[in-house]
Amino acid sequence: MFKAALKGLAGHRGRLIRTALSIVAGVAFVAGTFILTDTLRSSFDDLFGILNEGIDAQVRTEAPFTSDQGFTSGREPVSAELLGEIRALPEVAAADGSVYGWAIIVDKSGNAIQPQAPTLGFSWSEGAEELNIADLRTGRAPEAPDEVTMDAGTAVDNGFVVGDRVTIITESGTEQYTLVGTFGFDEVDNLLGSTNVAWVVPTAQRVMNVAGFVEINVAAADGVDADALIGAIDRILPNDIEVIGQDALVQEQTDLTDSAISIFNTALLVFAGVALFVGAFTIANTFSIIVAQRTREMALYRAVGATGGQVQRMVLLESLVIAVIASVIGVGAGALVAMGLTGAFSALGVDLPSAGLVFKPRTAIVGMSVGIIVTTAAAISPAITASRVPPVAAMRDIHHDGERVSRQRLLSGSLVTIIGIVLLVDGLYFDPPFELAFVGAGALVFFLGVALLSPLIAGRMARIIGFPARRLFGMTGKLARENAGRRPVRTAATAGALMIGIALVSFFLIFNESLKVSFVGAIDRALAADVIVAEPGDGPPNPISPQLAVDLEALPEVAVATGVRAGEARFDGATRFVNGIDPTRILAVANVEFTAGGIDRLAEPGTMIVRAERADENGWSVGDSVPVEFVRTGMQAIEVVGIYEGEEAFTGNYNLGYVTFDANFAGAYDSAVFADFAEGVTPEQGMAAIAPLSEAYANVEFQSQAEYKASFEESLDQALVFLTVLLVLAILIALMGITNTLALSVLERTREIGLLRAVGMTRRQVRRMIRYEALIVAVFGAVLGVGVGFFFGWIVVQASAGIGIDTFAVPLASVLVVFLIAGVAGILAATSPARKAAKLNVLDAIAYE
Amino acid sequence: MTHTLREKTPATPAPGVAAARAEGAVKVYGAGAAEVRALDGISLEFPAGEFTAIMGPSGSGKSTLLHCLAGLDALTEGRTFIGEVDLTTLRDKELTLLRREKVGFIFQAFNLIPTLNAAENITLPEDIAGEKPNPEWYEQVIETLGLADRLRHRPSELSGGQQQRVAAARALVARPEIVFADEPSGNLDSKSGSELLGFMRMAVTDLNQTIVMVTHNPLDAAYADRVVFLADGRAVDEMRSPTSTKVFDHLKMMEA
Repeated sequence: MFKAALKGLAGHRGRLIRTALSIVAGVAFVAGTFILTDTLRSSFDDLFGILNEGIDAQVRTEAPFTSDQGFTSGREPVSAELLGEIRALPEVAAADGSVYGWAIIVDKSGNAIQPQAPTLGFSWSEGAEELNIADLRTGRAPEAPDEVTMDAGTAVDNGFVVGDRVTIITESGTEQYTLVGTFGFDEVDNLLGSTNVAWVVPTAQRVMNVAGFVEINVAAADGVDADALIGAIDRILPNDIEVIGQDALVQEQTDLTDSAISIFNTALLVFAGVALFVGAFTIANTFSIIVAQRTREMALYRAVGATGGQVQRMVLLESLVIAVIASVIGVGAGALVAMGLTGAFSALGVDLPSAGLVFKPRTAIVGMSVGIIVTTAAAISPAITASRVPPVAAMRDIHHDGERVSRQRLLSGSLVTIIGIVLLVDGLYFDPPFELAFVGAGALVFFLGVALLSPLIAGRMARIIGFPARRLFGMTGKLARENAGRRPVRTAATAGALMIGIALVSFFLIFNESLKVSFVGAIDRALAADVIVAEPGDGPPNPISPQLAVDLEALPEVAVATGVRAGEARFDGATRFVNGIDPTRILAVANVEFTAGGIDRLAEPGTMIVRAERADENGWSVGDSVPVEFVRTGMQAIEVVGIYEGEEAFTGNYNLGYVTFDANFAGAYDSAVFADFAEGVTPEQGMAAIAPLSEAYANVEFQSQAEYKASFEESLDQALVFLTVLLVLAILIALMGITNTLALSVLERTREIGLLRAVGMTRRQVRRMIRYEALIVAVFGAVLGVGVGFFFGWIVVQASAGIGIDTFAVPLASVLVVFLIAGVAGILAATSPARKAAKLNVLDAIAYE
Repeated sequence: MTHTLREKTPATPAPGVAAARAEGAVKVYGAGAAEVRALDGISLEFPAGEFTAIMGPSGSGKSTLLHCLAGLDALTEGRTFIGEVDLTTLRDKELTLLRREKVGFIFQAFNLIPTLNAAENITLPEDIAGEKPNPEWYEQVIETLGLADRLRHRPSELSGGQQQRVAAARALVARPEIVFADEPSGNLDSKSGSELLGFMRMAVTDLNQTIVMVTHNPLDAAYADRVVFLADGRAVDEMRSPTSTKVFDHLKMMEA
């Protein structure tokens, strides 16, 4: 039987290739994801190795937890005296105090350089070469307070050369420095697209507002091991200061990027999974068509003595051979996918300091297993069908038509669909552990259920969708419509593969629209401000100098301007965002309604106001003293002085007055500034009046409320585009499925097409007939997909009221575009089968056996 | 009913011109040692309004001749004509349109599109061309062939004889210059077969239709006006006013 299986495959190479392709694509996505994230991890490991090279120990203040808001960890600085004491230790060869924070370079045309990567400023190491992470490329190290150095990559990209005057924005304001040198990091001229500047220590301390050092880096004396060094330092450290070794330091940094890479990895794998799922659909469909077409062959095997089990194994073996070939190719193609993604990153300005792609054995093992399991699993049901072919079928004429859709299908389909809905609802509403897994499994099972049920309506739907085709295109349209409807199970399975991609795209469209409408509504309700000042883009937050609010309010056109500060604190062990606000001004720009207490006492130290929902959850009322843990100051008792109702996304949950915020966070800077125009000032006049400020504050964007909403919508749309692009593969695989089904159907209908040609159908009409059929199948898939997408969108929006999504909105125009694209794609998918059908030799087609 | 039919006659070529003819037709399959001369220089005429049967042993080239005459296959040498049109000068599209407009087909099997009902199958060539059949003519053909109560049925719901009658109706409704039939009764029992041949005979006699039929059945050949015998790709003999006995004897003699 093994031989028979191989011969069966070799006899249909085109079909084999198309079937394999749908698995190759999915496996390549999986392998590519692993290769990419392994490469990223190894790049970061290399990077942290480079950055921490020579640092045997690091001294810093203890923090109960770390916050990644901003670039400093939020720790209290260590003093210069401590540096002296450490340097005096015999175990220490060298020690350096380091200061770093955010610094934004203004390019030669006056625009702030704000990549999707950190913008860093730090102190140039004073003494020991081994502790300096920067390696000079041109010029010299900074020596005077007004001198600066810059990473060579940024310098080259922006045309800066030694001797230039460079404008740099820091939290102390905007100043000019003379560029005296450029540097790299070991082999690379730039770190992952970030911008880096370095000053002498006193300048860094001044512009970063650090009294002392963020950390002290230590190199051990010859012959002193890490433990001895750490022990020696630890003995002289005060209670609230800690020392950690190089390994722990690297581990800390690696952990931070690892968790980000893991999220990225999981997200990509989810989309790879979608592609594989669609591929499985396509394969199952292809195999069942092939088995149906080979009924006689199967029956002949049975007639000459093969058992049902042998026939079943033969079909499974065929699928296994395809699976192995496709998976091997897929794993190899994964490298191409990874290269493509890396290329995409560098196009976005993120250069990965990679010494080539990292290919771990795990990538091959997982890719192969996934490909083989998915393919053979998809072939199980067709294999069982094949094994049930009775030997007598060899002698019978086979009727391909009259496929019956059984009652059993209705029952099992309904059951599976209901299980899917239960899983979805459970995951969305009842917060089980692994809720995302519940939602994912629910969606998957729901898809299967719909796929099982869809043959029940496939015939009728084909007729409805094809109705205009009959009207517009006459007999070719009529035939296409009949062909699409004659094998409901096949049509539904083909459309079902397309349904999955389209359902996810329309779900994203609907969710995105709902998010936009909900949030724009929330902006209208929550924000009274005419102007919103924020740092642009999705990069790490660039703090805004508090001076900006002062400068804004000084303008006669502006009535009120106030900054809002942001940080993280822990409540009962959970890290939450907290805001710092000006109690005397905030109500002029934000709408909240106090249900208890008020804002007045927020001016007193150690107080906060809390959004009602959170207060209720925590059982707090006005007058309660709540323990809050800060990175810098540790556990503090904060009194709740007001409870309010407001939009979570725009009024936050926990608001401290400036006085309380500044006492517990390092660096009193704003993360956003809101302003109201004076009475009688039009938005145009107001925006014109504040425009000159953008020169001094090049790192922020001044937006009217309308612009703010628009940019919010725009950033959501960008995310949508990204997600949609990731689904393109799933849709392409489904289209390959359409091509495959059509090619097999054309083969099956060779005689019919020959007859049509004999009685006068032109080649062009034959092509058209096949294309219309594809169009009908594709639109059917789109109808199913958009329907499922609507359902997913609706149920998820219903479940998302808690995070501020309160409106279910459908972007009708976009949904129409989805239909249009599906239709066009379907027609394109029909190109090759249509051409093949048109080229059929009339004589071969009508020749008798 | 036949008296009404006489008033509507199919389109016929100008008098004196054969409905179809072959001139030195040669068809070669394969090359070298494997070369087979399916047609070896056949010249034949098929006068308008005549029912011609083509007979001969297996491999005599009768089916190939029919295919080449009908524009379904191309000759290696020589020419074939439908009316005055030389098929060997036409390209695929022109051939297709010629088949649609001037030629009707009745095949041995698989004559009907399974997704279309009988009525739709009958008007298929007109529908493909985007034309409407002449309604009276259509009614008459349907009635003559006794299909009036089967029009809404799909092929799978019709008997073999009914299916072939639908195929004949399709060939006649288009009023082609010539109908080619390839073993039309091959899949039918003898009663249905003779019924079908009777209808074809009637179309020639009453409607002045031209029919060229390939068959191996002397009973079928007896319905024709003339029988042409082929052997080894050549026309070797001809018989006018055949009877089944005469045809049978002739075939026996050819094989001997």
